[in-house]
Amino acid sequence: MKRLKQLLYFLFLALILASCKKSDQVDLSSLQTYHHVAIPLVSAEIDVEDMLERDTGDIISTGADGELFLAYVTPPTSINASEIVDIPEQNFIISVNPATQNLPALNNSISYGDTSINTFTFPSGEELTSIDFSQGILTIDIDNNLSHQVVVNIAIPSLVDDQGGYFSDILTAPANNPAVTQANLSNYTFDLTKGNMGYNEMVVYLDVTINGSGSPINTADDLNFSFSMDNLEFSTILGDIKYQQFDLGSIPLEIDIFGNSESAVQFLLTNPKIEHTIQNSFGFTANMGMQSMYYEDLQGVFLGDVLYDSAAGSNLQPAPFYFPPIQQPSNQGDSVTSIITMDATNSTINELINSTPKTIVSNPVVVINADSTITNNNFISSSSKISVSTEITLPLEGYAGGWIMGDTIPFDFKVDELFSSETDIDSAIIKFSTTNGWPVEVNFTLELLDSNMNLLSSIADGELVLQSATLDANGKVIEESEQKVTLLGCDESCVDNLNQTKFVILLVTAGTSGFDNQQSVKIYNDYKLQLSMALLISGRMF
Amino acid sequence: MRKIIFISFVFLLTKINAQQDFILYHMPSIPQITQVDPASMPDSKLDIGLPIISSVYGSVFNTGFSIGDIFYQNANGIMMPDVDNAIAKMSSENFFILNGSTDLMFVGFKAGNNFFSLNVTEKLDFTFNYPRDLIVLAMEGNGNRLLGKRASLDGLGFDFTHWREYAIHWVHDVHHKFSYGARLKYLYGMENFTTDVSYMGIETDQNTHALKFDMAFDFRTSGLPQVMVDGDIPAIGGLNTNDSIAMQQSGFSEGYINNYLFNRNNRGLGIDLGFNYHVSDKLLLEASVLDLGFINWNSYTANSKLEAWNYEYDGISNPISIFGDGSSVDFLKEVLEDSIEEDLKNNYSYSNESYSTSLRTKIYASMEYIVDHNNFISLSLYSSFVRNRWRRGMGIAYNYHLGNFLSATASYSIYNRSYSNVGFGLSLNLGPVEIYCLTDNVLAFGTLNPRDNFLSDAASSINIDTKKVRNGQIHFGLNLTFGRDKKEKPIEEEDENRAKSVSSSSEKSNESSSQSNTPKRTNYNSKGSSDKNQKSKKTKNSKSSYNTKTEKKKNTRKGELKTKVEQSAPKSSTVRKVSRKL
Repeated sequence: MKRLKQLLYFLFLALILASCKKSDQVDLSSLQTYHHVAIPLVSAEIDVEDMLERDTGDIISTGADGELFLAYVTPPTSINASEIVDIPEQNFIISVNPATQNLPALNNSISYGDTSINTFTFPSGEELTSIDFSQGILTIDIDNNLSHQVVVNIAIPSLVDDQGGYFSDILTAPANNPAVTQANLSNYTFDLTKGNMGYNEMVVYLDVTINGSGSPINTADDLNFSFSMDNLEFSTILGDIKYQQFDLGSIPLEIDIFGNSESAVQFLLTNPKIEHTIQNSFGFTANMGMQSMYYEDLQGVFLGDVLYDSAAGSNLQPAPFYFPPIQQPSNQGDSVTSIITMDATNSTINELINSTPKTIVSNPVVVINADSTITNNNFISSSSKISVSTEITLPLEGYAGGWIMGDTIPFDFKVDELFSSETDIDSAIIKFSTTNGWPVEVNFTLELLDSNMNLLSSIADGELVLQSATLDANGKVIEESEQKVTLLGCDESCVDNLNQTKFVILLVTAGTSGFDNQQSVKIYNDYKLQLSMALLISGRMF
Repeated sequence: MRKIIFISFVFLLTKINAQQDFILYHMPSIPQITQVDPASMPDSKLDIGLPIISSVYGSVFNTGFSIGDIFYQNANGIMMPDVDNAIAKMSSENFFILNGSTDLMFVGFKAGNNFFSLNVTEKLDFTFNYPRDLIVLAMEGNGNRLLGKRASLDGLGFDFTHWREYAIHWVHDVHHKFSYGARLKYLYGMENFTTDVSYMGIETDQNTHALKFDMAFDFRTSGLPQVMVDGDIPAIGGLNTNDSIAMQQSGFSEGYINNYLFNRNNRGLGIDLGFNYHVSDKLLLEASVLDLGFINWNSYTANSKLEAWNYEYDGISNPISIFGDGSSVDFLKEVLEDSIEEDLKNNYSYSNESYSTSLRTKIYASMEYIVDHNNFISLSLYSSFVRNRWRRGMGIAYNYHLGNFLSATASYSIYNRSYSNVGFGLSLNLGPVEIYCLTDNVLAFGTLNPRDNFLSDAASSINIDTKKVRNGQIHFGLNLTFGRDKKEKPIEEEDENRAKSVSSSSEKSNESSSQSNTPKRTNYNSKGSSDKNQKSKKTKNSKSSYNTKTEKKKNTRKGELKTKVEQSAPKSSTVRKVSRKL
């Protein structure tokens, strides 16, 4: 038993001593941490339409099959009826000497009748047959130089009211006194065919009764009838408007497809076109043409003419040139739309659309009744007009390579302030994770700049971050790429630079798949790019 | 038996965890032993605990790691996290546990073969359950081991209870062979925080670092102040501190403390059960089940619940905004916080339902080998359920008695996956005054390095020993005890022969002691009243004659113990667990 107890004592003593073995001492106040923190920064699903909208504004459009194209549209330019025909105020005077010989006294009444045909003239030599007035005032003045009362019965068969009757009025002028009458011409139709020519003539009948006062009457005594038509506005005009040319003025259209692109070694959109859409509600044929059409750089330096051949042949000519005739509506109030297309088959515009920003300057003109040798049967209503809008459509179909886009972006992302004032990051890794549904490959360079725009460091130098999707023979994406993860390391000195960074330059070099073989790719609206950007930082956080 | 012990031992070594009060289990001289062994009969006839100071208990357990596990000092003298080691030391779920209790009142007395006691004890219990991944996340972030994985924070939560126990305790001894006891407890709850449901995961995508959150929790509180978020959304707690009437009723207003101490409507019941059984004169089996019970919480309750919530944050959808518009880290944080906060609100609810909680039930089992009159060796097993997980521990202890004057116990225990637990306990009887101090792990005090950190003037440094210590515990107090049997100091030379000594005089003394004293231990040879004649012959102060030679057969005894025990039993029997008739 004693041995057992001794053994027990020994065992406990040994156990206690072993447990009480002096271990290392450490100072808790010197405690530091070292963390690896993974932060998601960006997760975006960017479809091609969104991307292009960001860069090109609202010019991106979608076709019936989902194909995308850029559409640059000019504001519509129009020619109104008032610019085609202007009805000037009309005035004419009819003078009558009732006495054929001097009479000492006139005591009875005598009557006298007269027919007057007055010809109107218009600025462009228009030959009008009918004008429906929407407004206007007819004023008839009688200047009675006789010492007798005069009663005038006036009838104008050229002015037909809406009941089919013509204008008439009776006007009494006291001896040696004037008289005046006025009529509202709205709702009157001015029939200019009553004369001898069949156009531009107004016929007036005058029936004059002189009631003798006993005073003498001489041959020099006269009656003057003054007609004036003021404030004339028409609702409809019929006749021959004659040849006229209208200049729509200079229209510049800037084509800057990717404003941020730095350069492009090669870039081609294979099927651009310009469409002029013309709406005509005038009753005449017209021809639209270009007085001039050329392109220049954004500084206004002339680069070259746009050549065109309306016959779609090989006779391409610079402006001035005319497009095929614009059709006219069959009935008043109707409108006809004509679309005139300039594309690679009849012009040289496909040579203009490349990565270099430029401006297309055009000066359209419209000619009506171009054949001046014939008589035209035109009609114009007050609401008639010709409007012209021009749209340059660029189907996103082509190839590009060495295409560099860059942007300088303000940046203030101090990783050493992420968690506390003690934060001291040793290293960082930027991860790009992409699944690409676009037919492009993208290389990436990120440059860090200080507040004075001095280069601090470059995190990636042409690193491939996007692999192209798989295309079919027509250049359409049939399968998106596998997820590609790109790690861009940033060591301790790089992190120091990151903390000082105030600007970053994002340089993206992009090229279409198969660019080297000039394989054309097509862009559809269902192409998507899944992009994630993440940050992994290591170091002391607290 | 050996097979059972072996299997139990191997089983427990596979996962050994939280512990309560190992060393007290081996200190029968302290009346508070009944806190862990309700079937134990204290040595003294009358015990009076002085308010508060009779029993002060505090413990802190951390099942996951020690400070030495998670930090190391690099070549530059800088403390750095040792993540690999910390992970190796932790299991998927780990606990940080704080316990405390003090007796506001304790009175116990013997009556025949019974012992009765009353106690009023204030208790608090705090548990923080932390998954391993929480520590990994805190120590190294989500960008290394957790990258591409789900950081599982399942089970993360707090449990905290502050309650008072009013208990009646009764022990009955049956012929010194078997004793059993029970403590009935009326429970008065004051504060509670319970995490009913909690799971949470944060998965960081390997490539995109997208953060996927999945979360649900159900917190229940009682008696805690209401905490608002965003000004008007109650987050937790049910006591509106802006409501003066509620503050009075809750007892937090000046002059209304009684409402806090006695009038809350949080009541419960509990029971402790235990038994002791002498397999032989050398082997004692003990077992107890503590804190079977519950508390119903009705006052100032709150239920904060987040239904299953899933959320993914994968960054800002507009890349330009990171650099251009927001232009700063703050912007990134705001976006993350705002988006999460808005989504969280949709799944969150708050109510004020009543609820119930169970006490943390603990089970002790011990097997004690009686070396001799004053020396005991025991093997103890412990288990409890913490947040529905079974925690186990085991320990061996050596207990030495020096008469009634001193009782000392040294122990070594394994729990919380920690092998560095050396306990020591000492009780001194100075007349009726008993002073005791116990700890299950003296190493914990060394870890804090009190000499350097608290006693020296060293300025800013906080030096600790990187010992593998996870547990600290202390239990001390001062009792008034009366009616202990007087003992003489054992004579060492005679001690080894004491068990061997069999003499007629010792038989007589044994008989007399049985008559005059309340039985301390089971009398294996007693057959009910059949021993009365022998007991009646004992004299109170009769002692064993250790000088008497012992018969050779004593160590090979297999049959009835009667004769030899009677021959070897000392006259006085104040030493715990030694049969009076030894």
